[in-house]
Amino acid sequence: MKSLFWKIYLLFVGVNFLTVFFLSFQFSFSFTRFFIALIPSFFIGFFLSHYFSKKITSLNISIKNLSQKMENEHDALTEEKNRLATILNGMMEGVLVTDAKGVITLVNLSFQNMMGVKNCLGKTIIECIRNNEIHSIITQVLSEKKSYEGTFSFIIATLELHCIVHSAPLIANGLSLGSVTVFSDTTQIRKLENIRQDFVANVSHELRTPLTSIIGYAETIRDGEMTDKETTLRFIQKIEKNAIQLKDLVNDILFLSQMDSKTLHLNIQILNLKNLATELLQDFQSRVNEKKINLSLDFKDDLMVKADERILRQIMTNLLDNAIKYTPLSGEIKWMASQQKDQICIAVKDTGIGILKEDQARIFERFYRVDKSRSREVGGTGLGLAIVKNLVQFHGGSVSVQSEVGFGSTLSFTLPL
Amino acid sequence: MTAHTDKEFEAQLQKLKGMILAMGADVEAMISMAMKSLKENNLSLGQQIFIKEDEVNHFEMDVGDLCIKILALRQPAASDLRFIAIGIRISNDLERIGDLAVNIVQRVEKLTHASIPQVHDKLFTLSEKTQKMVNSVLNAFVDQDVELAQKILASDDEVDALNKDIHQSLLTVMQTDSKLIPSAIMLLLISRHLERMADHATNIAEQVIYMVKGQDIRHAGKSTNSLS
Repeated sequence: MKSLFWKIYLLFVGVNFLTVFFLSFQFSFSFTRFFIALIPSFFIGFFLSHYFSKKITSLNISIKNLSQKMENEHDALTEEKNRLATILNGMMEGVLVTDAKGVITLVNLSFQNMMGVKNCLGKTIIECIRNNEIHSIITQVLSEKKSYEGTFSFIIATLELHCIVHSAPLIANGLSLGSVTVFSDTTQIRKLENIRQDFVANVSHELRTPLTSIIGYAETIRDGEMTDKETTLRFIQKIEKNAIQLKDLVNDILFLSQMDSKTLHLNIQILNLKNLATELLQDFQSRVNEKKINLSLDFKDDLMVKADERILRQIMTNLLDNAIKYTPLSGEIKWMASQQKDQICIAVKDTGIGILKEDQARIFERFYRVDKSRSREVGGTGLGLAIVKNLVQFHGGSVSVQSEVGFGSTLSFTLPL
Repeated sequence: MTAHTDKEFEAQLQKLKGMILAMGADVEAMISMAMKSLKENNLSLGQQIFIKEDEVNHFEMDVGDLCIKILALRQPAASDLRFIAIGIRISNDLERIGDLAVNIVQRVEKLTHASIPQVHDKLFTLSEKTQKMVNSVLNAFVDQDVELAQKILASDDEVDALNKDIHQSLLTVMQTDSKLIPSAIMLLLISRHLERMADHATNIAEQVIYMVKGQDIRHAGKSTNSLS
C-alpha cells in the first residue's frame, strides 16, 4: 500500500510540473521564456501536488478501511459457509436444493449416501438420481410454487428406499429461486416394523400348531376312541409330545425375553472346554448312533475358557443339535475349538444340505426357517440359533456361518479369553 | 454436447436427454421389481411392472417423435446429429430391456419350485451384474464417459460366462431330477433374459462411445467408420 501511495504521489508531482511548464512556455515570448516558465511551473506544480497529496492520503485510508472491511466480511462469510456445510453434512436427512430450472445447486452427504449418487451439482434431477417420482415431485413444487409432503417408496437402480419427502419452493419477492427438498429415510424403521409384525405372527403360529394338535387329539378321544386302549394311548402320547413342544417354545421365548431385558445373570467360571464337550457328547450319542453319523472332536486338552457353564452348555447343545438334525444318514460332523489371539473359536462343521447365501444372514433371526416344511419335520422351535446368537453376544463374542449348498455348513462362535 | 446459442434448440436437446433418462429410470425399476418378484415369489409386483411397461412404450414413441421433429426442423450436424441418431437407438434398446423384465415376471408366474438351490445364488449374481451394467451405461450416457462405457463392454463377457454356467448347472439338475424340469426351464429362460438385457446395455455403451468420439465400434474388427 505504501509503495503504491508514493508511486501515485510522484506521478502527480510529475504531471503537474509538466502541465504548468507547458502552459508557461506557451505564454512566454523571449528566449528567456524557458527559465521564466520554469519558476511558476515549479511553485504551482509543488502547490498542486501538495494539495492532491492530502486528497490521496485520505483516499488511501479509505481504500485501506474498505479492504479491511471486505476481508472481515469474507472471513465471516467463509465461516458461515463452513458452519452451514458442517450442519448440512451432519444431518441424518438428505437435503437437495435446486434452482428454478430444476438444476441441482446443493446436496448434503446424507443425500448422496442415501441415493447412492455422487457429483450431483450442475445436473438435473433425472440426470443425477434417475427416479421419475422424485423428478415429478420437484417439478410440481417448482411450477406450482407450493410445498409438498408425502411418504414414498422409491426404486433407484437396485436400491429400494422408503422416505418421508418434504419439498418447498424458495421464493423471494414473488420470484421462484428454486426448491429445497428434505428426505427422511424410514427404510430401517419400516424394516423393524416388519420384523415386529413377523415376530408376532410367527409366535402366534408356532403356539397354535401344537395347540391345534392337542385339541384335535383330545376331541377325537372324547368322541369315542376311548374304547380302544391302544389308540387312546397313542393319542395321549401325541398330546404329550405337542405339550412338551409347547413348553419348550414358551421356555425359549421366556429365555430370549430375559436376555432382551438384561435380567440374565452370568456366573463366570474358568472351564475346561474338552471336558465340557465330552460330557455333552454323551447326551447326543444315541442320536448320533441312530443316524450313523461320524462325529469327531478336535479340542486341545488344556483349552480353557471363561464363561457361564449353564449358558455355554446351552450354546453348544443348540449348535450340535442343529448339526445332527440337518446332517443326512452316514454324514459327518466335526466339532472343533481353537485359540485365536485373544479369543477362543468353537465351530461345528457338518456335511448337511447347506444354506443359501441369502439365508445365511438370516438364520440367526427368531423363527427364521430356511425350509419351513423340513424344519418342522425335524422338530425344533425356530429359536435355537437366535438363542445362540444372543447368548454369545451376552458373553461378548460373535457368531458366524460359512456354507455351500450341497456340501454342508460350518457354524462357529467366538468367546473372549 | 456443448451448449447452444439457440436456446430453443438447446431446450429440445435437453428434453430429449431427459426423456431417455426418465425411460432409463423406469427400466431400472422394472428390472429390480422383476428380480424381487423372483426372490420373494411375489406375483403382486407383476401389475406394477405392466404399468411401467406402458410408460416405457410411450416414452419410446415420444423419443422417436421428438428426434424426427428435431431432424426435420433443425437439420443438426456433427455431435448433435449423432446424439439424435443414438437417441432413437438407445430408446429401442431400453424398451427391449423393459420387455425382457416383463418376460422375467411371466416366467416367475410359471415357476412351480420357487428356488433351485444349485443356481439360486448364481442367478442373483447374474442379475446384480446386469443391473449394474444398465445403471452404469446410463451414468456413462449422462457424463459422456467413454472410459466407463468401455468397462461395460468388457463386463459383458462375465455375464455371458455366468449365463453359460447357469445353463450347465440347470442341465445337470434336469438330468438328475425330472420333477424339476418345468422350473429349471423357467430359470433357464430368466437367465437368458438377463443375459439379453446385458447385451442391450452393451449396445447402449457402444452408442455412447459413438456419440462422444464419433467412432462406430459395433462389430469391431470388421469395419471402423469415423465421422467428425
